[in-house]
Amino acid sequence: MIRNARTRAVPASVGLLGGLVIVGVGGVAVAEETGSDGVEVGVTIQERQAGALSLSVAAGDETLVEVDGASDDYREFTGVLPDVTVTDTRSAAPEGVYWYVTGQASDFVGTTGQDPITPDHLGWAPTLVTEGNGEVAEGEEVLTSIDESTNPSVPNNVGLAGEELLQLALDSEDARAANGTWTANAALTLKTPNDVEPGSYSSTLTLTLFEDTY
Amino acid sequence: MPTATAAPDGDDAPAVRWSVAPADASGEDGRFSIQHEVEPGETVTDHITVQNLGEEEQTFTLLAADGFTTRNGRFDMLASDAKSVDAGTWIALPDEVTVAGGDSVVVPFDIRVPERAEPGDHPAGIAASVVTKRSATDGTSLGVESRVGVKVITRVAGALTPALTVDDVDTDYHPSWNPLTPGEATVTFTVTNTGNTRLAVTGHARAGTGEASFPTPDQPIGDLLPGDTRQVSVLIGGVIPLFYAPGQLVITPQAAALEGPPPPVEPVAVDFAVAAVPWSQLLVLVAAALVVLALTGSRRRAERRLQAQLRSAREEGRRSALVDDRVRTGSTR
Repeated sequence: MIRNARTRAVPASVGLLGGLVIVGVGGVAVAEETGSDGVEVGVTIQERQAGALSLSVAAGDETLVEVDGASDDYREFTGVLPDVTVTDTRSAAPEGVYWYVTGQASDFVGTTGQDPITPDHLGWAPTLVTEGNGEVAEGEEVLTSIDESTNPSVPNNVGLAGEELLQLALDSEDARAANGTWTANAALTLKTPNDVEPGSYSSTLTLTLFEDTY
Repeated sequence: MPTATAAPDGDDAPAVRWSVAPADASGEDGRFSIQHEVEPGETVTDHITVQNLGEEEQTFTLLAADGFTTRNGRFDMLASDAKSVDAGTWIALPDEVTVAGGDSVVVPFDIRVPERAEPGDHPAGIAASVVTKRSATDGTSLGVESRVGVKVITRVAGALTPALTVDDVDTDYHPSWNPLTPGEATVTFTVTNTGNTRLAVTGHARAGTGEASFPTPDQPIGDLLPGDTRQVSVLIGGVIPLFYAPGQLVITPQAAALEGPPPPVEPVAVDFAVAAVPWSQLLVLVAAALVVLALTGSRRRAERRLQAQLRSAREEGRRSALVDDRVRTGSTR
């Protein structure tokens, strides 16, 4: 959705470091003097890159619900991450630049002073919701520290310390990011020892969109 | 201030959509990360632009935090509940920014490098975030903080000492079951950035008659921040099994350049050897030997049979000759 930039006079709100500048998305005129004879003054319109790489996360608070009789060895709670959408509308994404979304969980803090449940107890299984043609991939499943690792070379029973939810699968430094919109979510699984203290717990899952380059 | 919470009637509030990019004072400037070389005790000012692609005005929380590398070798920044101790604490920026629907706002920030900062690269990130307000529900609840981040690398001027160590070299040989094609060797090892600059890692591995360059496009290694360790696995094709394949690993680290040429780093070379037993070829040899044995064995048997027949024929001949003699001479005994 492209809207024309509206230039509006807004009183600059003073932040920590002084004014914030409102900028419309559009051309910036730069006056250039040509030569020292000063006969002509040319105006160059500096093109701003059109479009943006943006993130959108569906609203909603997640409550993890206990799975009855999941196991005799641990207690299991499951839920679903809200939809996470990455949109790339840049007309000319630079070569070799790719993006990815990471996930990190904080401690599950007891609301009445119980000991926290550490984030290694929370695992996820990302799913790409949108049909893609392989340019974007969901991250690998991450298991909890109560599970056995299912990856022989690199243990994956580590919980959500800093894991990928979604990534642009650029396969070379000459590849360019594709335009499009991709949505992913993830099945969430929290496993705790049987003797976990009863009560309410809350945690924050942090999702971050970053760009990097080859 | 409206925040993204589910409306009571079950309709979701319109989701916020936003982007963050490095900028100059007038707007986005085409950089995709922020990198500065700064003297200890100095301050630089730079900008990011926060663009609200939704219809509604939105207030974004602005934050800065130390950078780190995820398990998969990706750059990330500490979450809000973790305490930054390095470059994340050097960045001063407003607490929040309010952006009208469809607009962008340029936010200036300072990087204030302490007098006693160590020379080298100090990773951090800046992000604009939206937090889903947590309702006080029973049970186990999960709030979601969504951030769009920008990588901020501060290189503190001074002695740059890029260095890399290679450990835990391990090899494995996978023979081909077709005796006419060579097998593959896998070399795994860990690289550790023991210096004070970011490093990119490329290299070459040789084992017997095969060789390979790394990283390959489908297995990028990614930048190593100071102190990072990463496991690398290299597949070497074309290794003919001659029982023993001597090999060498040459790893060429390259320090990141900011202004001017990057500081030089010595390549690291490691010798190794792979046991490459030619199982399929040995099988072929054994099979061939069995065929030869079977053939020669049956030939010998045939030979023996013939000899035996000849012998018995000769015996026969001798006996019949004897009888004839007797008949002719007429025995008087």
